[in-house]
Amino acid sequence: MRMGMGNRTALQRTGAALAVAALFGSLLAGCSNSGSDKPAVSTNEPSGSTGQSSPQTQETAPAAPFNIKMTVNFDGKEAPKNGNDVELAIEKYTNTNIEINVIASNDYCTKLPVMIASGEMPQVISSCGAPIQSNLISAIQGDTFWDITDLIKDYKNLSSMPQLSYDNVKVDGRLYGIPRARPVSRNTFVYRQDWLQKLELKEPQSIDEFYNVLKAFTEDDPDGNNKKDTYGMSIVIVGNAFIPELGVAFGAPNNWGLNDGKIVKAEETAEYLESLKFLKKLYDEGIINRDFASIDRAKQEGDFENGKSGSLNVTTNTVLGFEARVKKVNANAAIDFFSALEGPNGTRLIGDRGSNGILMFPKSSVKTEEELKQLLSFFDKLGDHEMADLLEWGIQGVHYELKDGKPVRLNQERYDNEISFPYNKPLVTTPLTALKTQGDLDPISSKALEVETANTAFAVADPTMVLISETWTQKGAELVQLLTDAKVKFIMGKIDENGWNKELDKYRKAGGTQAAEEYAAAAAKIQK
Amino acid sequence: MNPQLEGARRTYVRPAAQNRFMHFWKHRWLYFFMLPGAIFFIILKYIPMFGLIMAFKDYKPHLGVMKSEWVGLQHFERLFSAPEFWQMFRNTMILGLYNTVLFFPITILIALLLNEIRSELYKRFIQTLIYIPHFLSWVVVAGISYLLLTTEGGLINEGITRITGGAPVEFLTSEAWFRPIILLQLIWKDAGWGTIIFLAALAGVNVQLYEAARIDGASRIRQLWHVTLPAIRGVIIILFILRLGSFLDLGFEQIFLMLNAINREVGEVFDTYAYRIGLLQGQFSYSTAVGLFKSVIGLIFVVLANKIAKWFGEEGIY
Amino acid sequence: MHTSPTRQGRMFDVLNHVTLGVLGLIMFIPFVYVVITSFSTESTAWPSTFTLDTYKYIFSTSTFIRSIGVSFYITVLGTALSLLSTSLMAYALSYRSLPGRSKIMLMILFTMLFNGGMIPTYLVVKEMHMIDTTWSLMIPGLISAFYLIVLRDFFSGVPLELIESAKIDGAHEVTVLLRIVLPLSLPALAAFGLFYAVGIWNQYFNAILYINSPEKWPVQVILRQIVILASGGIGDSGNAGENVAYYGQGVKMAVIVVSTFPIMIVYPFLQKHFAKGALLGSVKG
Repeated sequence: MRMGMGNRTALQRTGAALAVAALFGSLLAGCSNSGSDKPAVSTNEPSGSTGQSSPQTQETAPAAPFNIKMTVNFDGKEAPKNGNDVELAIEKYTNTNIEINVIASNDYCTKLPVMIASGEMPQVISSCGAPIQSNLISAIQGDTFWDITDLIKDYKNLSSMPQLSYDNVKVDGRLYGIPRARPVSRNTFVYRQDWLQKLELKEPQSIDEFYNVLKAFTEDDPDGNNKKDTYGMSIVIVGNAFIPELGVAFGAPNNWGLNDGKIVKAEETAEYLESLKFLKKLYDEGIINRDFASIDRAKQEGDFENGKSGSLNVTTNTVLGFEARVKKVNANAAIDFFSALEGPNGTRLIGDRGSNGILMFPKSSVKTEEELKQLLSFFDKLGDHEMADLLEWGIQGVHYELKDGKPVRLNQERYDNEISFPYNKPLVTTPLTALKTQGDLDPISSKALEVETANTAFAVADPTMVLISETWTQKGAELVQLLTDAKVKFIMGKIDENGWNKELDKYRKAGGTQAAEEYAAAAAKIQK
Repeated sequence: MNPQLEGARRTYVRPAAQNRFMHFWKHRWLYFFMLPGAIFFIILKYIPMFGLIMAFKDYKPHLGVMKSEWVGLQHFERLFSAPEFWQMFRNTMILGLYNTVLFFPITILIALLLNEIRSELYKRFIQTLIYIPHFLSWVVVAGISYLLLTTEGGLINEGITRITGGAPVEFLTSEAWFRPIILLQLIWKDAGWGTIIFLAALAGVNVQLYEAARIDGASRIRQLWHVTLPAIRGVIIILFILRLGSFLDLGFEQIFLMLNAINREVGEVFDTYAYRIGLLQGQFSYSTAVGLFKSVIGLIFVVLANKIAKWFGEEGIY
Repeated sequence: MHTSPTRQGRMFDVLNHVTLGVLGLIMFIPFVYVVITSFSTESTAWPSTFTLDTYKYIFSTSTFIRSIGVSFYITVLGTALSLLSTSLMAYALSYRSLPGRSKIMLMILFTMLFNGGMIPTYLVVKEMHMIDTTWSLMIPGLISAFYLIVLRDFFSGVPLELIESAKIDGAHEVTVLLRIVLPLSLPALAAFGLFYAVGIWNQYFNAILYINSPEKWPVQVILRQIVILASGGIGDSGNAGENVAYYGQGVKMAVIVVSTFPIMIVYPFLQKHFAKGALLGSVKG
């Protein structure tokens, strides 16, 4: 075969060289930062001083805006554009220039350690949920973040949260970030009120009454279609946690209990076994979904939405959403909710941590205490009346309007997308419910607030929330898995009470006992 | 043409001059071609490998790899002494076996069957259909599995109860069914995708060879045996060896979604374990150690497989 | 091409067609289900209403259109770069006489088995200044050792006579690659091109890790965010008064359709390369 070579060769050679060089070049081009669209004014030098001008301007008023770069977790649909009206309003009021990087909450926990490892963090960074991951704690103990315990009391709004919110996020007794406070007792049973009415029952006050209601939901045809196609309550297991977790209602401790200096795991108590037996009874009688061990949350919620199940355990802030969902499927449905159930040991509810993560200040980018104070001041200002209204209601005429002096929301979706998810949820620390201009709340929302307040009296705290046990840090996940699996097997009848006790033994041997001892020692230290 | 160079096999007669430099220089363009790739591998694959040291340290992100405390084989001891270690090992091995012995041949089989279709249109039609499931995420697959197999009105169970009048089968919460379900899911999702590479190999087969064989009176089976299979033998072997290297790499997400308390004993594999213990709790060192363990086993498998292949006269990977 | 002369042959053909047809159906039906449910906002297993709301919801996300642009850009450019670099290397390594070949192959194989991990790779990417650039979505995965090894095998199958005789005619290495080896390997290139393209298009985690600016997010990131919000799976932050518009499972399904459709339709266009005898006549012998 002949090919017309000759003078083609030189061309081909050049072409080849160019191709390889292009590849080369692209690899190297990757080295150059193609830059971001951010205006130069918001690029944050690690020395993070006040604005781009020299320090002298700080002394004269008005001071140049303070640059703040933050990375926070995010739950919304789309990240807000730079320089939108809401952001401008915040910047104007607080005299800052803010730049917020958002990361979906789902992925935030994976990225946080990477950010810590890379040493490049912005001035403000939120924790991944409760600040309890071992790598975060060791970073905190390694002096990565500022200790703000003594500074926070100087700020009116920041220091006005319930004491519990601060205490439950301390590491070694010190506070390393501003907690984003939220109600301590948020779990509630939402149920089909129209079913209750049809069956002429009353809202249950005790566990026994609750059982009767659930049984009626299952057997007495509450939707009136002459078919036995409903059941009492949908339960699900998410991340090794039962929803609902009934142990506390039956008298067991919340996760861990402290008694006379001894620490015991909730599952080891007799009361907990009672709650399991209750669930087993529900399972055997078909009052709960029999495939609870293999479904996900969407299915669990879906059943309630579609009128297959009569109740669900949710957090107070989602009840309104559920009402909408249920009504969409069945306009005649009505829902209501309650939290407190009287159990054999009185009314007991799970006490939550009281916060949704904390906002931390890395020392690598916040170089001076002066700068730290300015950051704290920024967050404090977000609790001022004007900001509270902006964050809770929005911009007048756009997100809400005034009717008889009371704000009324115009467009929920817009509020959610432009304010709630990008700014309210990540940045609000002190709850703004009381600080904003009061509007008229729908019945469910106002009841939710009442329920949350009333519940605090019954909330049972988990004493280990701020304690550290080496064994638990290392093996906690495995041990919890062991226990959860045992619970499932017991409820489904794969093991009996003897089997359950054997599993507890396994748990104790695998590290449960050791962890309890370590927690007890840590608790004793704090008492001193 | 030089008779020494005939044949499908490429051999090269060493030149008399043993000058190594001349040898390199002769192939200078080839080295030039490899330059971008070499840079890529060195910078983006080999340099990060320093991170494997994490497995021997108590890694704390804020300290970095170098400054974190050295703990030697502590993580490995922890892994090997974990009560579920042998369980995980067994599960991983068995699922890996299913993968290699069942899934892999099935993709080849489907590719061969497709190759026998004469209507190009029908062939393309089926090809497109069977590769679609690859694009659905495992979450969707798990969801569909649930719809079919749940005891609460799942399609298959509805069928079973109606036909046999018996109780629904607990597919999803059963030890016996776990592995078959995983295998079936894998076949459903990725078998079609897996045929692509074989189809590519089959496309390169010289059609005239088929003609020649037919003229010689060969039946279709013989054509398959003497023309088709030899043509793709090389690809099959290479893919098989590579598969062995990732023997212990099972679809983490797929298994994770299907695990629950009841089937955990047959379902927990190293990847799901490492995820829960390592990543969820932020213990990077430990999950790196688990990964390193898997890699070493994979390496052993590949080296063995490569040796065996070469012993049989095949061209191995290296 | 030819009809089967024997009765067994014809029976086999029928059986084959039916089996493959059934297989195709089994694999296709769930996707049809996904598409159907994507047009509804109900959360029942079998929807009864038709609506475009789910798609409108997706397309109304302002960052969405832009992210599709980003995804297209990185998929096209990334695939081209990947194919180019992989082919060059595979070609070089297909020469059995290449000094050091065996060791190089082993080193490549090694990278397939051993991986430094997320954090070390992140640090390297950071040092190369690729953080927050679209390069971080194309370069870290530039060459897949797996594809490289298999492609090399395909290249090895090109008959040596063709190459040798071209070289005798004075052809340069580049010419051999471009005019002989690549054309004869089109099916393999099509296959790996598809694999690379799908891999780049589907990237999600890398984008989360390396890219901070929302304008540079590829489509999978945007879609994930939409799914999480729309199905009510919000992180439980916030106070009373939640009332997020809820689009049911439909949005999840619509997201799947939108994110997979563009890449799925690439395959039919490549299929002519997988036809039997596709290479007939590509190089005149």
